[in-house]
Amino acid sequence: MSTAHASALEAPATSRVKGYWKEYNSSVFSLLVFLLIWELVCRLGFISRFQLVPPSEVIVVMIEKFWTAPPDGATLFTHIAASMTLALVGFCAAVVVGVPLGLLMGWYKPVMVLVRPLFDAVRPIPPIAWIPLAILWLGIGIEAKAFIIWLAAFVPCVINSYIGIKLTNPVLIRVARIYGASNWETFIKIGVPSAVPMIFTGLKLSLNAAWTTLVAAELLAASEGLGYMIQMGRRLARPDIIIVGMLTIGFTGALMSYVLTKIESRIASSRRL
Amino acid sequence: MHHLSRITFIVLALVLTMGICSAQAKDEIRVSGQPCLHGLPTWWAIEDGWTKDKNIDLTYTLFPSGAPQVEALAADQWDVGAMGTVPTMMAILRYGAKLIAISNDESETNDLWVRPDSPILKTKGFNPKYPEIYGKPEDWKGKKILVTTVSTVHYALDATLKALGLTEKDVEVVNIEQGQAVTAFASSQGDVVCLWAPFSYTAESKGWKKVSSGARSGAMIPGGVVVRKDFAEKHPDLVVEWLDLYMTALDRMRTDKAGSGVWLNKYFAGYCGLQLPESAIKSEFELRPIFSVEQQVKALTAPDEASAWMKGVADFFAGQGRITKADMADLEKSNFGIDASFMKKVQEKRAAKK
Repeated sequence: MSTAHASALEAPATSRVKGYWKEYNSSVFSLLVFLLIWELVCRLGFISRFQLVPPSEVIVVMIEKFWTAPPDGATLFTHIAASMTLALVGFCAAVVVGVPLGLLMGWYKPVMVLVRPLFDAVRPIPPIAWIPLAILWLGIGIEAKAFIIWLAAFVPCVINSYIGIKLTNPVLIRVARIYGASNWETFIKIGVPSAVPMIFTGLKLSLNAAWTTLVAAELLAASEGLGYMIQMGRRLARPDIIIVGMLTIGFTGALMSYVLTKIESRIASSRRL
Repeated sequence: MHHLSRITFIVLALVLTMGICSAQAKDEIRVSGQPCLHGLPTWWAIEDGWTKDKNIDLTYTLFPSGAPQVEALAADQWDVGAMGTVPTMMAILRYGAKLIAISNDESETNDLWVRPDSPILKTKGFNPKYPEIYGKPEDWKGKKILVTTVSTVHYALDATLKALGLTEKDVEVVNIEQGQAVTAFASSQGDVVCLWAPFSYTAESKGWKKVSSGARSGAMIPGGVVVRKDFAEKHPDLVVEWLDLYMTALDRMRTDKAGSGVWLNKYFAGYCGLQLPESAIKSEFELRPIFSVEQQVKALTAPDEASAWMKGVADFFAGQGRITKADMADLEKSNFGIDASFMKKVQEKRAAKK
């Protein structure tokens, strides 16, 4: 009996592992095919090497960039550290302001009435358009660059927190009130926990926005950073440097998003209502 | 009979149409430029109808700066064009473009500015070899300098620091784009700002003081007129035809500054969306020496002129680690892409007309 029971339990687990490997292999395969096509397109001369360099050369340049500063003036580690600092400062500031604001807007109507017109007016303005004002208000240091990132990252934080708390189960709210909970207590103990999954979705979108705005932010008086590296590659007509910068932004952004997903799975699962 | 006359009429109409079409089929030359003095000649030629009687049709594309212009060259989007020294060098190095003329000498319009209360203004001519540079080394040390790095004005800054016996390690260099540099400096950021025209005119209008420039520090900055490699090889006659028009405009700019100023103003205000005061338009001709055909031929062939000027810029880039030794060797091997043959043909063409 025990053997039959064990094999019955193992069967779905084995098929899950098999499914995972199949999915994993398919992803790796598609990536390899993409890289192979890219390499062939360059090597066979379909695209000039001045327009696109083969991935093998990009990898070589990427490895070299870990310890050499030329031609863009800093090593890849320095660029990654500068960009990560900038992205995290902007992102954290956006979370600190955006999440509470979105929650308050969703729970308290007067807050929504007060803030929403301004938020709706600011939201569609592309962060890059703020650069001249950012210089006037905050100078040319990290504050101005972080402000540009903050603007991009702030919007998803607000919207998702707002929607998250708006979707709180009304039955839970009624139960809390029947048991004598105040509006603030209901907000903290029912509204906020129920909004956590949506807040995390907002955080992921926000982190994504922070990384995509990096190049724009580093247009503003930067001497290092991945966005700066791309600009230097452009000025020096070096597509390999541009691609290394782009790929590094992609990898670093994906890594940070992965970390955030792990944090979400720990927090959101324990607090979901 | 009636049928025959109808057929005759159709055939005649076809022949006439084909004749008109063939008469209208002109060779297209795609020209690129920037909102700068060196962009004016082609635009002027188009607007003033200089190509009406010629067998060429010019199309003009405006680029905000050198980087996108070079990218468009790589994508075969234009055939000939005028640009700054750095994009010219990159176009030669990466895409085999040829330098066929010097649009103007930009050494004085790549300049360094301070606010009127700057201590740098207290001394002038510390190094007698460079009497027009302001400040002593102590005045410059530790200063925050706003500059667009990997540019001609960065080259002018480097030459200025060298003239004072300093290096970039003695100051704080902040990389910033030109428009942002003006905004930042106006809001009290930085101690020195490095600009090029037309941003320099904004600096002048704000009361900032010029403390050095490429010309004052011995850095020669030639504006480049380049041709795409393929186009030069396949259509050398068209290149000469266009270059002749370009030189006609340069000749007028040298000899009739007032008349050319009207066109420059039209180009800046009407086409590029740049509103410059009359004094700035005047300065464009005063501060940027323009070469005649004879001077161009000499500059492009003499070893101490165009090739030496380009080498100066290339040495600076190599010293900064922006280009490799192999890149430098390629540039030297190609004599910095300089090709005087087109300008010589323009000279011959003009001599034959006389």
